[in-house]
Amino acid sequence: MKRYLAFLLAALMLLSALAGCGEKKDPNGPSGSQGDGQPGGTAYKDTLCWAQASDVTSMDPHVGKETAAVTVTCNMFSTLMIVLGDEDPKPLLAESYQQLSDKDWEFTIRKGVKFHDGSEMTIEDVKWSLDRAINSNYVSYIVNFIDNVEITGEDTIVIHCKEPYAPILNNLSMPFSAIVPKAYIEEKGEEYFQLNPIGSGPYKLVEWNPGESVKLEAFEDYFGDKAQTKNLVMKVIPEAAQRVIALETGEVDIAYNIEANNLAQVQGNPDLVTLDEPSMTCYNYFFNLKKTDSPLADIRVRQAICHAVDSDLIIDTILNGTGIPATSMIAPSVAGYAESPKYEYDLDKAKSLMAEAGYADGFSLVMVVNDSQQRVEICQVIQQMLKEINIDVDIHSYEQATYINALNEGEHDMGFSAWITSTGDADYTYMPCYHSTQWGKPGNRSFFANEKADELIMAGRRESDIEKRKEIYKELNQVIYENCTQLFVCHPTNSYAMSKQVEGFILNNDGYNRLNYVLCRQ
Amino acid sequence: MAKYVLKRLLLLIPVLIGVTFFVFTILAVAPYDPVTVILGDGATEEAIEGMREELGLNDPLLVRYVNYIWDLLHGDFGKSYKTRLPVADQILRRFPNTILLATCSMVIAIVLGIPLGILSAKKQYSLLDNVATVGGLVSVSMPNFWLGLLLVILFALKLRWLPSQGMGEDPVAILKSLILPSITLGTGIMASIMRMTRSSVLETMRQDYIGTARAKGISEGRVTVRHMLKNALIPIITISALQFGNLLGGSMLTETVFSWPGVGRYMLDAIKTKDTPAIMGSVILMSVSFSIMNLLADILYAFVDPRIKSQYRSARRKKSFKGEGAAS
Repeated sequence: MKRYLAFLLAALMLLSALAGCGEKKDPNGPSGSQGDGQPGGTAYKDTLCWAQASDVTSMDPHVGKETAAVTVTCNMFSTLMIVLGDEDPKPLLAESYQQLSDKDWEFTIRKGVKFHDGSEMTIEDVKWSLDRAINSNYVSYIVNFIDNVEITGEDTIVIHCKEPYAPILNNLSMPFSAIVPKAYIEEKGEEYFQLNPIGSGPYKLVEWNPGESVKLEAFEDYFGDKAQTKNLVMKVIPEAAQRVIALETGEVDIAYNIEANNLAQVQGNPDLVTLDEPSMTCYNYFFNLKKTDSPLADIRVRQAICHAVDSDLIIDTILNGTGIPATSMIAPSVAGYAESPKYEYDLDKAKSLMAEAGYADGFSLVMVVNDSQQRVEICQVIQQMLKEINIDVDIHSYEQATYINALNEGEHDMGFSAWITSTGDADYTYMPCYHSTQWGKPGNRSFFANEKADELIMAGRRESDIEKRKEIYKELNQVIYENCTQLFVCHPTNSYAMSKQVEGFILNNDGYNRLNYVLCRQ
Repeated sequence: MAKYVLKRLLLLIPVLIGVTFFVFTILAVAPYDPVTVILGDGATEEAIEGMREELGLNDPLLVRYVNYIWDLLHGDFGKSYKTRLPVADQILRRFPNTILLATCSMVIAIVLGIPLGILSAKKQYSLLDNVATVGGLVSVSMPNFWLGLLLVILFALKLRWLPSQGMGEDPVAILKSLILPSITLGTGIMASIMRMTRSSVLETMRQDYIGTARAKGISEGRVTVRHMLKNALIPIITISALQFGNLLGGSMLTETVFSWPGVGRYMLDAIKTKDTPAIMGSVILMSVSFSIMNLLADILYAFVDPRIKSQYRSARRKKSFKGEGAAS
């Protein structure tokens, strides 16, 4: 019997070994599509294929706000403004804009823009779309700074804000404020539009197989930079390892959402290349300042915790080096980013602060996190680090909705947060996370209240000069630092992998990559 | 027989009411708010309230359940919270893919499992039997996703014979993309069928009628197929039907690993996003598939075992005798 078992194990090992042994990559790959020759002698594919982890949730830009949806719809719809790569917002559907007063902005709309059904975009479409976005339960938070939209001419509108709002151009470049065809939706109905959406973007929808793939085709009458590749195909591949394999076999040309533990595999393949950009996400822990009887009410204890945690070690180990240490909630790529002082890793200082606060023998605290494996692992590492200063951490891991509820209710002593500055403007984070009117659900889960901070937040929101805003935010960061509201860990990296044959890929920090500039050599 | 089938089909109604009520209640009392999941972190209080109203989540549990069943009776499975697409359309769109994968997996499992089981039984304790036993144990214990990934690395990445994921568009591509997930799913089931066939055949071959058949000079092949296998089939049918019923409900892991657009993946996505209508639709499909496969197994028993067939007949005869008695 033992012999047979050994035989079977040997067979299994052989299968594993065969699976593990290297073989030269077939440059033509199974999906090598026929391309149309390009001038200059280089032949390019006429179909570019990319893989992502999830499917589009909704093709309606005012409903589907998840990144997985927007990566597709941002290629089909256009917005008044656009942000490409690290650039500042620039006009897209708008031809020009000017600030009329603190609260009023005038936009002149480009003429001759066509929707995918051939109809021309009108000023009515623009007003109707912004109103539709404001009334959408899904995306209203991006445009709810607008009081009303007024048509002032054949091709001009004035956006009246509720109060001075400096990040307006960033918000209007978010795909959630896309312009949709009023007449088409009113005639065909909302349900029809969800399945057969048309926009004015560089690509039009050909086919959506929910859960499987989306096919797009270049729109000939696009007003802007024409699509370089005729067809785009998005394939849903939920497994991270499978996305990399599909890239290696040539079944896809670009793979989104590459996980840290698959990076080495991509980097080890000479035919592939990785693109990383620090995301606009910040991994941090809110200290609950509402619990006045907790040891954390003493700022020295909070400072001790910050000094006791080695962020670099967390990035190097759990994130496999895919991240940068954070000193504030705002990532360097976000508009309004300003330097912030930092609590350096210093265990001796942490211990002396604990002793000073009268907690040399330590205490126990509750750390709340969601059920993401990586985030729980980060908590476990911090749990070990805090043992060094005699703090006993009890990790409570909940599924997403329960976890958010626990943070909102203030159940935590330290609550993990992976906050994303979605609009790419610092106000999107400072206002909900630090203003005293925003406790709990809106985002202020430290339950922080500070008059100076409130003043600075409002000043930053009103100031349109970016340099002056940075000064305001620098001062705000100092206030946050002095009050030690959070433990900042890192800004994780967005990682993409692609074939070396891909050209012209512009990586957007928000992950909403426009693919009309992308080409793929055959 | 027809009456029996009808009775069993009618029994589906209380089963479905029980299952839907159970799952609906669990989802309703689970400590999460689907609206928080749908709208995410940045949603305003007004948006959350608006969405709760739109989805009818402010109604009491019983009202919501009754509304759900009422809609269900009108063929409306509701709309997915996440995508706003009709659940019935989405399930019907994916179900043929799941049937295809389930059927291919079952064909692999049956075609390999039954002959291997018979051979194991007939050559008990031989090298073949031992290898099959240990192999079966390994196959059943092997996690699907691990075997799947191993097969992908070998056949898609290294050898480039087969696609690593997805479902092709033309028949040849579909066939190619079916091979790896079918083997992944079929392997574990094949082992169960093989073990069941082995034990069932072993039990049958010790019966007196097998000795009698051999004494009559019937060829060994005929003894095996007509006398041994036919009598050993009942438990094999049971396990095959149950496994097939399970597969028709969707194989979450395998469909996810191979990006197969089936019901299992739909259900997994729905569970991840707490999409109640989509979960309910998938559960209903799973229950119906399972119940119908059970019923089919019961009907098949009658075809392979004349004793069961005669039970159905005698029940009918008894009834007609009673009827005649009353008339006279």
